[in-house]
Amino acid sequence: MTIKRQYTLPNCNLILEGMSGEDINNLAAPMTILLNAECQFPGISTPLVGGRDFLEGLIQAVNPYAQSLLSGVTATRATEAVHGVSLIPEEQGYYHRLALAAPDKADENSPSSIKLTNVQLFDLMEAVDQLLADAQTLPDLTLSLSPLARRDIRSQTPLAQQAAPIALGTSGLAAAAALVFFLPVPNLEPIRIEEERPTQTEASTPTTSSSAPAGDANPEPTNFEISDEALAASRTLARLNAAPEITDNDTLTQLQDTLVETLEADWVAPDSLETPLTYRVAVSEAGDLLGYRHEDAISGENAEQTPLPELVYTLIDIEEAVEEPVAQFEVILDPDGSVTVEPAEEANQ
Amino acid sequence: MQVDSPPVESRPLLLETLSEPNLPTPACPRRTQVDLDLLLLAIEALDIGGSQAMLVAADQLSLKTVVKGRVQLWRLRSTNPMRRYSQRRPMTLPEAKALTLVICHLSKQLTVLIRQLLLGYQQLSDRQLTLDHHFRLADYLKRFRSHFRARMNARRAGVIAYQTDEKLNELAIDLLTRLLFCTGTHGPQRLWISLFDGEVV
Repeated sequence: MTIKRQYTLPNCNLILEGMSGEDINNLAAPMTILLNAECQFPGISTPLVGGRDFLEGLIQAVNPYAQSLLSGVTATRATEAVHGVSLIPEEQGYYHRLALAAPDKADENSPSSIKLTNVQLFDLMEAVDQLLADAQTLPDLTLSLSPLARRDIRSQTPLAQQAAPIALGTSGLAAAAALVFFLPVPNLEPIRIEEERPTQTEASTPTTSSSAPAGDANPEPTNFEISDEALAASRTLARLNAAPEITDNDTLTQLQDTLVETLEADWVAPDSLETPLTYRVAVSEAGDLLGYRHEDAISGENAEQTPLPELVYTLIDIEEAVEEPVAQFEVILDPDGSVTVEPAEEANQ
Repeated sequence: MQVDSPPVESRPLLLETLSEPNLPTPACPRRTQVDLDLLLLAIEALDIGGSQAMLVAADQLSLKTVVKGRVQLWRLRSTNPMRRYSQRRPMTLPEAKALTLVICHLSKQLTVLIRQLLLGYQQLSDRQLTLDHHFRLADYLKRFRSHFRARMNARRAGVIAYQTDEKLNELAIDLLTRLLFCTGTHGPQRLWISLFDGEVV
């Protein structure tokens, strides 16, 4: 027995013919098998006709299209026609085109596409909704809706507007790169405080006038590589020249003895060393080694091997004038391990 | 029996008919707040007693626990950032669901009028006549424009786009079409899902 279901709306009639797969004699049995589906629009003489494929295609075309009408958001990918049924907006006006890709060949008059108004489209959707809500007809068909994901939507801004920031950024980067290309590469050199220091201190303290000749007395300061630490230590010595001298002989002798003791404890001559190393050192009243300077090239080269860099106090502010009295000594470190300390003959050598 | 705490307000069962969208944030996206308020504005333009009808509808749908009264309704609608007195508070999903159900309920009541206006608009634009030729449609558009201008902050970027009468008419017709699609059997579900198009992850 054929069952006929009709969903009638002012502008759309959906007529389904089918049969119940369960019990032929039970009139209340739901229609589960669809034989024929017919979609009529009053005013359009020939209806769209098809089987189950046509009906499913219709449902799957209507759902996303109605959703995009409601939200105003368009998907990036056009929904592909399922079973040949497609629904696209008409180019002008508030019209929509429902198209059937493969119209029934037997019926030449069967239209392949229909132009729908908003109200006709709504009635089509409502007919589909009523069918989906009807538990007595094709209960396996239900409404399944889901929002479009963020990645699936087409941005509202035109492509030209979107491309503008990228173009601006790229051209800006190119311009900046071109400008930077003409800038000289910065000349990175090791610290050159040796040259700068006298001019700076001359400006600040008049006492450093005596330190300039002290620097000159050392003609080959940069011919060999010495550590920054040793360089700084030797540099401070020039400044220490300006400090007041310890004149008390007892103190001097005591400092001299302490220095010999300290150096002898730590001095281990390297095997390669053949000549004695000579340094000028400055010692505070408390016996702290405040600075040292090599007296010849070989001593400069071997300054790292001596205990002097370990013993010297690193001054926090190298430019600060030394106020406390200092004593200067000549230190001779012999290759055999002995240490000789003598008062410096001339402090301002 | 002594009761120490006030009774827990049960969530209206009707809200359960709308599914939870997979949102990155717990609150509603901005577009949801804008869309819901604009649809309610269109209903007000269609129906003079629209704002009262919203409260009645909320009562009939047993949504009083979410939409408590006129002030609460106003505060919900004012989450629309386009508003002149926009409330900087998020709209929760139950609140959005309640407004969705109210919109669909009212649009169903107005379905005859909505269809008339849309058919009239279609005929006028087919014949390339101005919209003044349809009295009821012109009335709706005029009321919508005045509601919109009275309540929206003209300095907001989203509102500046609707400065001209033509742009506002387009918006009003667009909202009318949306209201038509809300009148159907599955109107609430379709509207609700469409509010999150392009917002879910």
